[in-house]
Amino acid sequence: MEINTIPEAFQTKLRLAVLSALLTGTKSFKELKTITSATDGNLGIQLNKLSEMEYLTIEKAFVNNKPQTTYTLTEFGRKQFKEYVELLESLLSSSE
Amino acid sequence: MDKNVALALDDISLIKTVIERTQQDFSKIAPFFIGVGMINGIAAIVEQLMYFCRNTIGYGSSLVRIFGVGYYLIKIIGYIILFLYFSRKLKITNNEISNGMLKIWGIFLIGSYVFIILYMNLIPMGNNDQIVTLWRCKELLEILPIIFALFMTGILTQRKLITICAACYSVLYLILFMSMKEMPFGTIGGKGTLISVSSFSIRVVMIFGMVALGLFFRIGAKNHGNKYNTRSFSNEA
Repeated sequence: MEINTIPEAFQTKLRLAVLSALLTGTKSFKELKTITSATDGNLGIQLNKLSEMEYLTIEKAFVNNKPQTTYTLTEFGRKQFKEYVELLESLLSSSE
Repeated sequence: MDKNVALALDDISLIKTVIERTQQDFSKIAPFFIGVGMINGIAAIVEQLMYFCRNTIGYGSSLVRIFGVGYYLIKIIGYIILFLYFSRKLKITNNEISNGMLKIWGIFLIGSYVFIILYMNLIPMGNNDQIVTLWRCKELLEILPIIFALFMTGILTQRKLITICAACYSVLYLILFMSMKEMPFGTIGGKGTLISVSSFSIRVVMIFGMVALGLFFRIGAKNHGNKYNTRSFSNEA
């Protein structure tokens, strides 16, 4: 990954926050909403975009007769995230 | 400062904040403590039933033996089931603090009861002062790991209230244990028996204390989300 070719997924703070949260495991929409303090609409759009980019998978299920949507980081998403963090590290080390 | 470096620092700070926040969510482990409290509550009912049978039917009744053994079995089997269930449940969350806490509590709760059962089988039969002292020391095997686990929980979760409560209870327990004061117990249907006040305090902690700890984590987790203002980055999308 190069500085000029940073994927779209890391170019907004909310998407980056969502991916960081999913790095520690599967999260529900409600949990992601609490972590990011984003509005339902905004968060929903960003999650769908990340899903389209194959960074995360969406699973819909019924828990206690209530619909619950959970989001999991894909292997591709994890790999891209790792590469992005390595890019950030190299940027900081080169500036020292 | 180079613009790219500033943005990199900003992003690293954001990633760190979000990961720390997910690690501080203890809502998933809260039902474990409520479960421990409920197991002890059920065991306490079984114990009272044992005393009731002993008071009304007599020592020789097989029901007394069944309830007596059941009291320990409910606890040890209950703890094992709870530990296995939550180990599986917490595995997917990748919350290292919650997983660490579960391991500590699992080892101490199950381990202490394995030792208690072993200890009870090794104590010789009889009613002299030495044996009574050995029976009294049995409660130490139960409470010392719990106090230690409470301190560890307070340190791991960085919740001062838990550490303070653990410290206060350990001092109170020491005073009660050394005072050797006794109180009537299991009086339903007859005279019952005398147990030490310190032993009674363990029952209170294991039922109400554990439920309170679970609720504390559950309520704390709910409130936690409001402590941070992340709207700043959510609005940039």
